[in-house]
Amino acid sequence: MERIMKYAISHITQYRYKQTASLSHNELFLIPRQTPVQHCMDHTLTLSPTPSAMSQRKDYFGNSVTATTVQVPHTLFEISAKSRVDLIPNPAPVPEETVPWEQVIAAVRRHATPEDLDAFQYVFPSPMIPVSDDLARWVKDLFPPGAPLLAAALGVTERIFTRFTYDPGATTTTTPVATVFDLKRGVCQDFAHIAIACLRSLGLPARYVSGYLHTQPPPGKDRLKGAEASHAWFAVYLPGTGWVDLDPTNNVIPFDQHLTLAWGRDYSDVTPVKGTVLGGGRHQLSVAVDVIRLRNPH
Amino acid sequence: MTQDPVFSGAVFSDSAASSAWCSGILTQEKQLSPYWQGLVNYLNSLGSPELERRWQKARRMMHEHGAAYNVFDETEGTGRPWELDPIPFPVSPETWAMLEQGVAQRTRLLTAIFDDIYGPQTLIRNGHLPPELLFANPRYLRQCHGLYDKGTARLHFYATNLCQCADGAWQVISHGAQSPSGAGYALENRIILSRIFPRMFHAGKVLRLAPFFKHLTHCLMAISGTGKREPAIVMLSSGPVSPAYFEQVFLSRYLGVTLVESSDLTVRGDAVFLKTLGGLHPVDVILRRIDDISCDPLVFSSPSATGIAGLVQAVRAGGVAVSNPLGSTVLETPGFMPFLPGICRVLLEEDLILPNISTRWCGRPQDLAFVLDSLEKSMSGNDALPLIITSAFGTERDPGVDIRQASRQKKEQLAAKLKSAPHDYVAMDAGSGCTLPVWDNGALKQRHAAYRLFSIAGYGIDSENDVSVMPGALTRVSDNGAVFLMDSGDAQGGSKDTWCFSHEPVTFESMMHHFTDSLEIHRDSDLPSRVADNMLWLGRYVERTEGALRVLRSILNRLNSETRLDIIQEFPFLLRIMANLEIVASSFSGTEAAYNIKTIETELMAAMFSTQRPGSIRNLMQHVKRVAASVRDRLSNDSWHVLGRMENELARVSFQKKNQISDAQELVSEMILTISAFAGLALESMTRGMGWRFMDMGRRLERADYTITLLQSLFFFRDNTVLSGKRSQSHDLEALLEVADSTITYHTRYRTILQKEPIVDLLLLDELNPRSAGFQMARLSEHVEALPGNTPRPFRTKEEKITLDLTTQLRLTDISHLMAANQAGELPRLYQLLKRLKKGTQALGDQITQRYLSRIETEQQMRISFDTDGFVLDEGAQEWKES
Repeated sequence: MERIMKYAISHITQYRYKQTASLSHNELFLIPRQTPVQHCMDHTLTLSPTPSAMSQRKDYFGNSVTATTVQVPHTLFEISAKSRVDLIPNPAPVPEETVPWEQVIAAVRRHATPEDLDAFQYVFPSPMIPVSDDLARWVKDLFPPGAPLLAAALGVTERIFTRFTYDPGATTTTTPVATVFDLKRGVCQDFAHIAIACLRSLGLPARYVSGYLHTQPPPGKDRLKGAEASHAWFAVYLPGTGWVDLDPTNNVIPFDQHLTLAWGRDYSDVTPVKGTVLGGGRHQLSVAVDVIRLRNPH
Repeated sequence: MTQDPVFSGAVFSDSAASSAWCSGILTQEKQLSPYWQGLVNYLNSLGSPELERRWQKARRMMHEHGAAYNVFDETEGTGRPWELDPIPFPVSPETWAMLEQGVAQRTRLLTAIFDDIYGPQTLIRNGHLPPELLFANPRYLRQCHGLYDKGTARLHFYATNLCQCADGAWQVISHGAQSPSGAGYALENRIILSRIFPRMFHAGKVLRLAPFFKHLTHCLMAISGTGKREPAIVMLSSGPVSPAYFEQVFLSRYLGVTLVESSDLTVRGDAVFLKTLGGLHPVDVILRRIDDISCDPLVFSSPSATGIAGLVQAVRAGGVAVSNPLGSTVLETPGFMPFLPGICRVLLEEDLILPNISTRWCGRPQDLAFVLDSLEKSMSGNDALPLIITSAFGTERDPGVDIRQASRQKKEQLAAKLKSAPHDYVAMDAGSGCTLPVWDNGALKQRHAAYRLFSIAGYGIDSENDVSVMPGALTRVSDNGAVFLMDSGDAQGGSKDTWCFSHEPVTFESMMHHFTDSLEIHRDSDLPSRVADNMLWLGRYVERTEGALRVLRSILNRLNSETRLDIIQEFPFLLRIMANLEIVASSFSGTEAAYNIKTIETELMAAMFSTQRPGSIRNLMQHVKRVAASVRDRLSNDSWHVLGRMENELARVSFQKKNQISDAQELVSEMILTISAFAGLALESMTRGMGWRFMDMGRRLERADYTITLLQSLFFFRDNTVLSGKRSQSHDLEALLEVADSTITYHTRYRTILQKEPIVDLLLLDELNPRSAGFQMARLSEHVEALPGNTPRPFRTKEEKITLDLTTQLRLTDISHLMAANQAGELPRLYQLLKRLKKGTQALGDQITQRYLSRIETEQQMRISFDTDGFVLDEGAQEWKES
């Protein structure tokens, strides 16, 4: 029997401005998308001050994107996204039994099916992710001829997990992949970018996934409210099967704790909150994310 | 026998007619076509000297029009002039018909491709276009996918670049689709040539360009979708830094649309507004001359972070029409070329009329093999094919490489790149192109040529024909034919007018006519805040330059006289003025050094020519030039011409060593005349609208400050030490009148008796003297009252209060009371009044900027803080990251 996991997500972003801001345009990727294993049952997006214009559409990759304009003077800008998501976890294929990696390259190059054609676009460099021989060399030993793709990709995930240090102070949202690679430090977004860059450098399709992670509190302690943050990982493509997620920050194949917001070629395609502001001076930003697992109504 | 062609009568010698002509131009019978023959006969009848004379006249006209490619070059400070060849390129009616058909078909084809790749993508699904050419293409902007799904009105303005082979066949080299430049230059070329060869032009049944631009205007009106009789259309430019700024200024005037920059526009709700002195004005249509990715910093995350935040959303919501449509840049992809014949059959069910230049996309194995093989052969010493290998996406980081000229190392690098990412490259066959005769310093030379044809895809207001092609072209010429393939060719300056002949008589049609009989009359023109700011500064810099020149002239006149320096009693006074105006170092005046002629010379030369000194004449001129360039579209051609003359004057003498003082004296006198002419022309040829007001306000503010400084220099030291009134001798007073340009006025009133009271009255209080502080205050009061928002109401604005206060003070001042000396012989009342006037003038300048021009400042603030693709990230960047 299918096991349905129910989650409630709250993602609150606040900007406090030193001076009055008069006009702000934003693009938000904050509504969880539908996936084969995930259904967004309900969502609300509340902005304060009230926006003068707000519209929703699907972007090129099928994500829900919200465009808003706030044009009343304000010193505090709050974006509150709340959603309820049903997750029906689906076990990943057995890594050793997946297709050889060369066949994946051949399939997307041939792009005989619409799915293969769609996957083909994730082979090429994207605005934030270059390809390079250095990156290919770094993982080449994980891809001997005939190696099953998912097993090899797990190898990449593990290599990043063991050789990179999680360090929120080391990078910013715009640190180039090459710099992260030299530093061997960064956060989830950087690790996902590195993994994608390695795979694409070999000619494989790989995409960036933006979402949330549900964490368990340490035994005997309460879950800290707002302790979670938005998360990011990557996915590889198996022709005939579809996309399989991999999380290099935690060295796991996501199963029942990863909730997907949006996917694209890299962070720049699916930045959860981006915007411009007129005036405002310097600002302080705070983000609070809560992912709560709801009890199943048996 | 060789003869200097300038002195032999004929332009085309007989021998040239038979052998020097490129075979592509000749008919099958190896004869010149009647259109070329007509041109040759006409030019020969003029003769070389006459042609040279008219050509020089054309060059002067171009200079006067300010025609330049890159008007404002940061490094040089000057633009490279746009070069026009006097010999037009004649196109027979038959050739023109073929070209028109071919370009019109390409226009329909590219429009259909745009619709497909930003819509259903059947071309890549069905294998007519390799998906790599979209997926790996940085020009394919996914943010624009579905942007025009709702059938929002749009317009395409295309350029098709062609060349002619040595055998006469025409080939398409590339397309310009996002904001192609050149149509304005073609128009400018036509205006010049039709003036220097009026007879030839009118007798020749040459098709006119005006109807094309009329159609463009109608289409722009139609896409506004508002049904307004006069939709608000703006042309969006990147400003004077744009290499094609001259053209943008020229075209915007010709089309009668407002030229704006990104910072002039703002998105509110889902609509776009123009920021003006009077507030926000809605904009219906944006004819953009900037790249896709520079249009919206929110969506495209461009490195420059310029653009109009929210523009893409406004387009999506139908709040504004942008032409060319956002995302058009993808149509310029060189890699598309080999697939166009197939796509044309699929989408239009027609065969491609105009063939492409032979282009191989290395993403196809057989093409890759061919190109690698050619590279290999060229490295092993065989004759290289004339291949040019370039980015399949036309990205700038991969400029074209001509394998005939590349080094071995370069070729090896290229081969490696081709193997690792073959889909990133195309190879074009440069072949040998047809050449055209060009008039070069009194002789004919053969040059390679490329042709840029312009077309429009869009329905006019009366659903006129959907595609039209400009009957003419921008013909560019160059020594090296390959350059047209290596880059867009924009950097090449040489051009020709292109005459498309008709069998039918051509009717005269002017754009101006269309506008005058259909538009309502506008009187009160509002002004973008940015333009007002530049106008204010233009006025200030011009006046500041003039003031500095006047003082310099007085000093130089004295240095050049026979008298010894220590005998010229007013010399310290003049130096004090210079110091107070910050033209020379303040430490300089009143020292012994001031009497050393060598030291003075060095100091004065630095005051004129130094690039290091903020207040030098050269730097002031640079400011005038920069500000004038940014409001180029608001200045008359004459005033622009005068500005160019002044620059030439400065350049002429700046490097000469001998006779410095006498040269400088002459130069300064000429420059005073020139800058007065500039100020006069700029102000006189301008309507008495807001632009004029702001320029005049700048001028008045600066002149008030100048006159006050002169008076302070006469009576007081800079460090506020009160100087004895007794020390002002008659020679100082005479010099004061001279630099204040009030000598004649004084002497007609008071004859030769020089006294300080009447002089102070004349320069401070007399509102009839255009040089007096009182006159400036009175004018400023008038201006301030006429500013938007200052209509009669119970409370006076701050700037009104300041001008009222200053004007009233001056009017209430009694001259004998003002000039009453205390026991120490000082003039405390005058001292206080001048101090107060000086402060008031500064406060007024600040207040005007704050009230009317601060909108631009805020915008700049945003740009600085918007340095990434996220939210305004400064200190928040660290915290706001995914973990």
